[in-house]
Amino acid sequence: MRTDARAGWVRAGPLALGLLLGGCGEAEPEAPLASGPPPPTIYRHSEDHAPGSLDPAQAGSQAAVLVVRAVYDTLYRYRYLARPYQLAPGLAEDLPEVSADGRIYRIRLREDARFPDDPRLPGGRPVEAADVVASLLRHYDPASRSQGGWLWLDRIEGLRAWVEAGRPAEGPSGLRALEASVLEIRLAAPYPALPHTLASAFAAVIPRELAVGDHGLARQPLGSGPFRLLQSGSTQLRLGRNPDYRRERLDLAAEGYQPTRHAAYGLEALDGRRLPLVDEVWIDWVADPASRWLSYSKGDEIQYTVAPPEQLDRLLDSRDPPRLKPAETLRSRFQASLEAGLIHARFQFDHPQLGAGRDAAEAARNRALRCAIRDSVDWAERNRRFHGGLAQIFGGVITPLMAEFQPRLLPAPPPGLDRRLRAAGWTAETLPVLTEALAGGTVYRERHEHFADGLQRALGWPRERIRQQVYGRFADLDAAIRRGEADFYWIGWSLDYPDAENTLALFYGPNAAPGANSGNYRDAGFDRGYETLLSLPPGPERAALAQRLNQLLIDDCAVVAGLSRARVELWHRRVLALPDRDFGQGFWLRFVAVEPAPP
Amino acid sequence: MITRLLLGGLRLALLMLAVSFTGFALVEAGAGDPAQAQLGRQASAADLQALRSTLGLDRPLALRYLDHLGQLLRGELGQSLVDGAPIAARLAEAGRVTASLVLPGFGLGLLLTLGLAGLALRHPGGWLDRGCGLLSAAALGLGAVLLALGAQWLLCSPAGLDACPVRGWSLQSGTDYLRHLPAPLLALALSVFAAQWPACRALLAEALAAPWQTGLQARGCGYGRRLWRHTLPALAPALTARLLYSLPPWLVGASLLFEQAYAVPGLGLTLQQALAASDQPLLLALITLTALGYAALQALAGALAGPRVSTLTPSWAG
Amino acid sequence: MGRLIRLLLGLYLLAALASPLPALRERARDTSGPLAAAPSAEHWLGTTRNGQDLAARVVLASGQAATQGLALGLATTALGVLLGALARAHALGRHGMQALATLADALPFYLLALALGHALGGSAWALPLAIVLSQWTLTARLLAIELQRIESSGFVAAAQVAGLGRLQRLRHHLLPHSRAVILPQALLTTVVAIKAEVLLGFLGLGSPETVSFGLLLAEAGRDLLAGSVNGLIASGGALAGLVLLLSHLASQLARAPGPPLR
Repeated sequence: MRTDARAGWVRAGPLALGLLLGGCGEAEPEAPLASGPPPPTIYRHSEDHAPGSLDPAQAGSQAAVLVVRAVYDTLYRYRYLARPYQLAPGLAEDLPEVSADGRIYRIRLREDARFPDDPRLPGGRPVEAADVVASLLRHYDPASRSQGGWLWLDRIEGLRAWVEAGRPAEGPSGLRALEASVLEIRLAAPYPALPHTLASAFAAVIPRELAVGDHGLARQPLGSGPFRLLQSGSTQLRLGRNPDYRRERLDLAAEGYQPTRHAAYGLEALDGRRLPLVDEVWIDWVADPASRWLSYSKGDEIQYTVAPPEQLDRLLDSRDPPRLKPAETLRSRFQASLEAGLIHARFQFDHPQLGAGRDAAEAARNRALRCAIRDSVDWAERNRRFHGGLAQIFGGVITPLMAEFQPRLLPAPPPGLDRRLRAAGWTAETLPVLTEALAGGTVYRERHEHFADGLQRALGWPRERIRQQVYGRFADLDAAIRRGEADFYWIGWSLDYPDAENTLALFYGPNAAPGANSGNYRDAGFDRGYETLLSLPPGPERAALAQRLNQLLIDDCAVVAGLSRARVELWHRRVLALPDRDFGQGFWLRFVAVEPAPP
Repeated sequence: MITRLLLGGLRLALLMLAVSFTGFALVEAGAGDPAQAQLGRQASAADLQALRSTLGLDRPLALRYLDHLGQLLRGELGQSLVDGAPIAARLAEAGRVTASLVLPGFGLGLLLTLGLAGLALRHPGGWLDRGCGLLSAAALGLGAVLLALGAQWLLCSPAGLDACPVRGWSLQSGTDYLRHLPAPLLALALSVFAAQWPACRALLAEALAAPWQTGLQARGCGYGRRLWRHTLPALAPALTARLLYSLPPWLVGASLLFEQAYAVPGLGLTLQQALAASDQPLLLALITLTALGYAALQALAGALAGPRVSTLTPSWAG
Repeated sequence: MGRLIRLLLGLYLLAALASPLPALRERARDTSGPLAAAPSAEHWLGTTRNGQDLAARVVLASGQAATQGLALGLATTALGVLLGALARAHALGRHGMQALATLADALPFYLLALALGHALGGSAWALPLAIVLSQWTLTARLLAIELQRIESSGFVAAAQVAGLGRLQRLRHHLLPHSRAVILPQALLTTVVAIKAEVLLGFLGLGSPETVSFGLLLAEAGRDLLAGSVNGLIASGGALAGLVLLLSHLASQLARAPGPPLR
């Protein structure tokens, strides 16, 4: 009896294992039929979080921008390889003609751009200037729930009045289609950044027939861009080549190709090929870095990932300049690029001890406290711990990717920080409770602990008076900041366009909470300067003013700033591309090529 | 009889009402502002207010609940706030995906538990019995999180067997589905085994030691025959009751954890995304429907198994 | 086996006693150590990527999980005992308890925890609240049945004849004799609380205000990416040990004979 049972168990063992592993094993790639078409070339990308909506009016997230710019056209885009960033015509035939006073922009559209056939637009049709007008005005229809209307509201002549008059059928005077393919934009005041705003995903052009009412654009986009949506789910989205895409070819020289900088990416062979270069793009949404890394490592799944900071020691041979270890170069190409944005910390200026103060004496006392907090930050250590030692540190809010950037490092914390704090009248007994607002998550918590340790060490700030207010989700933290409930918080800001005005706006009085100046910073001199900056044309005068305003923020200790992270992006060697997560996010997908897999 | 049925129906209706109100109140109290989530970081106060009033967020709570109840009774779940997709269709699809993940895991786990218990109890206290006890204790101690990570590492990673894909769960083709199944199946089955082994083994051991077994033995009935022909059928009602009670809470926990770990686009992942995006209508539909389905299943189990097993209600804590 | 259990019990008791000590908390929090260091004389289990001492963190997490989990288990069981006793004491109480228990059972635990987290803006109180609100029902139901069984036995009737009031009978006879139900339930709820924290922490939905196992496992997962397994082994081991210990104690208590009938 006993033997029988054991034999049964022994027999059942492999069977059970077989059941568990039965479906495993490499699936044979389906052999192409001798006469059938070749299998599609597929580029497999990965991003952290799925976009909620694919409607250009709501394209506020990284992921949404990526998809919207692949499916739609914008009047302008950025050159693929040129750095610093340079605008290139997209849907527009050329860069705009600008009047001498800088207020009238005339833009001619290409005539070979078409919206594809779709049940919502039977037969498809050419893209016209009136579509651009409808796409921009759509931002002011509350039903489109736009996140991008602020870009033009007070810039384009008559736009605000038109919105306030209830959007009459006759559009605003500043935005007109002069002919089927000529657009005119009149500005209330000169605004040199306008073409940049027309390259943003918010400015993607939809067919005017779909501009009013709900046509499902949030999940079924319809644009004249290089790709169309094949399917979309909570873990993956697939794009396919748009068969109606205009006959555009890759011109490497025009895109800013330099052999010295771009030789490692295998792009030369692609010159002159018709866009887009792959049949399909699959984008996996993977929040968990471990899972993303595992999938990337397998070789036949996602082909692109941002390397987790934890991996950098194992991946990099050197950090300055960043260089991959030889073993990894067999598998991956890479770039270490600086983000178009900055990590910084802000104070709540309505706070009695951190804020502007009620009189001159209090203002000076509070300023000393802010300065001490700012100078207690050990930026180099912060960089080493949390950003893989690859970030760039600088003073103020003008980031390295801006033309106005002043490449000067923050000085090391001056000695005697605590003595100067005492001189301003602060003692361990009078130091206030400093509550840092942060989102839940291991990383934020680690940063808080490091920051608090620094305060304690450099300033003798009693640890029990450094607290944290944790919000479960980032959205909750964001809401609290907008309500003015956060006294002090670290935050990352991604640039909307590469211009100092974009970060200086975070301190402009009229932008106070719930606007972008959520710390409610107020300084009359700064506000006046910022208003002047808005109307100056690009040039040395404007750059000098931006730098003066930046210095004003530094002198007033208005912000703890800043640091731009560098990301190490990796992609499989078979993928021939230079990815771009910043201003060119999404535009580059049309230039990605994938070599056939080795047999 | 009719009065009892009516009373039972009334109680169920009251329960459903209480459940739906609890779900509604919790979603409504959420701190995330759907208007802010929709309009982004540059929104003006006026725009926010306008959207809140469009969405009806400024109406009294009671009125909104009545609206919600009316919609629910008409079978309307509305549309997602984020992408406007019809919620009913999305939940139906996600439900199918969730079922494709967790049901095979639960089934296999149960088979494993009963099969091993049957084999082990031929020699109670023998090496197999003790081994299973240890395995169940270890799996219980490690918990579902470590089991999920461990199975993925073992079966999917290049450092392990590198035999299964990490991403791309799909029901579009059978082979594709089967390629993805093994890792979560292993972890899910182990987690079921860990939770069910002690009780199932005890039930079976008790039944096998019952006096009526002696009669069977005396008639020369072998162990296998006693087990399959007599003992398991006799235990079927108790086992079914246990199953009915342990399945729903297990489903919710497993769907949440395993869908995230294995990138399965089912109900658990949908719930997490709805939470992150403050997608109120979707959240409301998910929470209300899950709670209603859960309550209905429990009521059904209670009716089938009688009042005695209501004490079996287990908790699944991963 | 018994020796191992006693050893584990002693270790976790020590951790629980040590967890409120400022020195331990300071050591677990201090970020000035070397980053991601291997075990050494200074740092027995090595350090985390943020330069924090892993051993101190594991001890603190074990102690806090044990004390906070136990506090939650006791609170939940107390609610269950209260409502279960109420159900035996009064017909109205019975109906009320049943209605409440049916409602609590009808809300899936994790859904309740997430919804509460959503409603409370990610407050650290969401999880404890969800546990207390949803886990008391089994205790209440088991207790109600157990009380009925005890009441129908002779000695309680004798007490009634002897003139003991309802409350006195409950206090002196009924509750002490139902400890085989109450104590294991408290320990099992503790296990539920500890594991729930881990799962929600893993999903990134927990609110890590304290040094908890959920936090340690999340950190360990990232250390694993960097090629270090210390964290995973240490925190996974400590967690498994605590869960197994509590489960074992619960089953021992459930089997222990009640007080002599008097």
